[in-house]
Amino acid sequence: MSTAVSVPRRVWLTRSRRRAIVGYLWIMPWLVGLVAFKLGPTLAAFALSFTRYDIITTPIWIGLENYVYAATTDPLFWRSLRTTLYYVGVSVPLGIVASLGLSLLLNMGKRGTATYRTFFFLPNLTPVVAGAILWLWIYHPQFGPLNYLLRLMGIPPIGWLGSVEWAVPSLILVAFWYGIGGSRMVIFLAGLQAVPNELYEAAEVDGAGRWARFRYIILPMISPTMFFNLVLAIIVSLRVFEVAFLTTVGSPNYATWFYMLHLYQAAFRDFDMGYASALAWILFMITLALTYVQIKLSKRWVYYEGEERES
Amino acid sequence: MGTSSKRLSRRGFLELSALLGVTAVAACAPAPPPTATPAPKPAAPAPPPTAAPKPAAAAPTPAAAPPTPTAAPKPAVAAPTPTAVPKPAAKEAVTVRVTYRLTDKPEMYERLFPRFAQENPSIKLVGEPVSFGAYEEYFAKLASLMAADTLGDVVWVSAGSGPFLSQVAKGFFRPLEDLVSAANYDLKVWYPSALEALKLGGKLYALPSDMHPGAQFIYYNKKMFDAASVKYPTSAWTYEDFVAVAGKLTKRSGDRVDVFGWAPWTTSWSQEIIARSHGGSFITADGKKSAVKEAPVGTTLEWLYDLMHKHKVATRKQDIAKDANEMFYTEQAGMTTALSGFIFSAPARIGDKFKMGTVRLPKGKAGKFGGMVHIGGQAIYAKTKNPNEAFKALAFIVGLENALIRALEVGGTLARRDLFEHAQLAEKGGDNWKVVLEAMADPDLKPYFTPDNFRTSEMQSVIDQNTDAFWTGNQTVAKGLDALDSALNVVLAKPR
Repeated sequence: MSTAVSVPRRVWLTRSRRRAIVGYLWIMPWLVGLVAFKLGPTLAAFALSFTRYDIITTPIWIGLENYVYAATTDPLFWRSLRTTLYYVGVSVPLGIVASLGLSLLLNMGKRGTATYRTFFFLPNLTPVVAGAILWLWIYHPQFGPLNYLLRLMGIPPIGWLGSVEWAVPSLILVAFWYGIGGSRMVIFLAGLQAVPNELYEAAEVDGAGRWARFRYIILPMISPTMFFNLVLAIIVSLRVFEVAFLTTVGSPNYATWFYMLHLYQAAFRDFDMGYASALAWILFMITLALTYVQIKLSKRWVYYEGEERES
Repeated sequence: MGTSSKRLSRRGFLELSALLGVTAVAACAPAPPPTATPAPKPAAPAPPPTAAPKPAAAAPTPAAAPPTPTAAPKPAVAAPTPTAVPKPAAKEAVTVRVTYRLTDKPEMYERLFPRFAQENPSIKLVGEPVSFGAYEEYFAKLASLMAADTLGDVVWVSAGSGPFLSQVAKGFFRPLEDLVSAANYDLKVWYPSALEALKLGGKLYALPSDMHPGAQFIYYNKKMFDAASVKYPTSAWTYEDFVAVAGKLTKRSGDRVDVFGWAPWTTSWSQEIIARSHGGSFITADGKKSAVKEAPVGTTLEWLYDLMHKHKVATRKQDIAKDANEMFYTEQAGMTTALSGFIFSAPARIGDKFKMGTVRLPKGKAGKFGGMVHIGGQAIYAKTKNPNEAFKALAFIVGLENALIRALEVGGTLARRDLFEHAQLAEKGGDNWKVVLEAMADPDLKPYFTPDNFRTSEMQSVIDQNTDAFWTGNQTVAKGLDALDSALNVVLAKPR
């Protein structure tokens, strides 16, 4: 009589698999949201970028025509990109330096720091529309306080938002007001407070002055924070839209015709959804490229504690 | 140990979350269409029209957003009727959904609906206002509703700046001829130019709504004219007279202009008016090519440029904030450009400061006044299931009684002769209104400059942005004309 050899049944739902399933269930709400509201539309936009689509009729496949049109025919594509890069090139360094300076001051531990911190953070909480209306008044050529002050000093008034030369600097100033005391400052402050006191003490003992402490201790220690802020600032600035839409709508003479405004008009004024999708993907690639370059360059100046570096 | 306290395990938490999630999804499912649910609307008094929303295609001036007592819910299904509608005697009432601009005051529409219901108990009107804060908002919303096949039966449209004609060409609105004859509706109440503007291929696609004859009106400060000993202008004045008058009204301190003679609109609307007075237009008659390099447009742009930079009597782009009319209200300009509705909206801003007069822009080299029909319309969605009922509602909404209420309370003037010539409007508008009537009766009042590919908003933007370089003084007209011409041709060459 032969004895049947019992083969152990393979259990599919192993302990580790069970854990993994439970983990996915926990993050399911976020995953569903990501797919439904981010990933799905992003992929749909990619597909639509190869079509002519006006929302109300069926998309028509046109291949790379939208991308070619952007690069070769659309007179506003390169113009809006240049305007946006000009805005990024000025507003980002200015914003980073100003936020860092402010956080250094707040880190000095003087009396009233918490109050000042709240005060500086307030513009960040102001709704964009309210802020835009406020700045429209500030920049008003006839009644605005800025031109009033200029007149008091005997300086001819400036056209601000109505001037081709001053429109973008005016919007950079608005962004500066919004951003100087915002989350960027808070993140810098956290980075500064994480710098070990022993390093300051050691530097003091070695006779290092304020500038030397800043240059050789603070900057390297907060370089990861600075890198993070820089990457975010560039990404956000590339998408400048709201204040321009609310104040100038791209004028005068396309001076404030930013890339996102161009995209918005293509989508919701002209109903060229296919072209707008192509513009969106182009911006995405540009943002990706800039972020990649920053990551590569960061190896030269960002210092992580415990990291081994070639001398 | 031996406590009997129960801790919620992870599994238990997941089960509870799933249950809550399913409940939430069920709760968020669209509710079945309600039967006549009386949602009481407080009788909110209409606020005084401080800034009348621009009739027809929206102008840049923001209208005061009316505080709706109760906001009509955004449609996926019919919203509840505002007041208790008398029950239809025999069969169930047909629902007709009416889509309109939020700036047209929902409370005004909601006041009309009960009256309509009394006269037409078998038809239930449901209002669905759509935001019109930014111009694109409204039309983008309409497009979304069309794409989802949930657009209302009766829809406010704009034949000027909006994509209405493009959407007509794609079959989204139905022609009205059969409904007009079935209802024995008399089209003669409307200005012929208004009806023409709402036609495509010879077929009528909407009944006219708000209309005005364009940015051809000059409003002037009588007090400043008296102080400068300048006679009030008449329709016989010329462009040279205009320059002279503006010069006399201008006050300076050295190089600085303290008070301007004229605060003009520099948008494409107003430029086109002047070009038409010289016998031309920004685009060719077939709407396919730029006509910018032809004499009438050059004359227009040079004249405006000289007023700003050579004579220095008109505001430049950098002298004003967003609204040139503000300079007029605050007596920093003796004259300004505006639409016909300004007659009713400006007094609230001016107060007792001065009295206002109205005159048309002068006749140009072609011996004509410029004029351009701006028209909104009430159209019927092509996929409506109840076209006859929708037409009844449409005809009621644009009836004289409602048009009069609208004109007096909101400021929008429907394109009805009997409205424009109505005694109440004449009384309210006074002598200023007579100028508007003269403009409306002008046989040279022609339709909006719509390009062949219906990309009107894009075309206007190109004109506005490119000519900004002239109004800021960054470029002369001679040097900038080529760029304007080629930019315009790029837009006009795009497909429909």
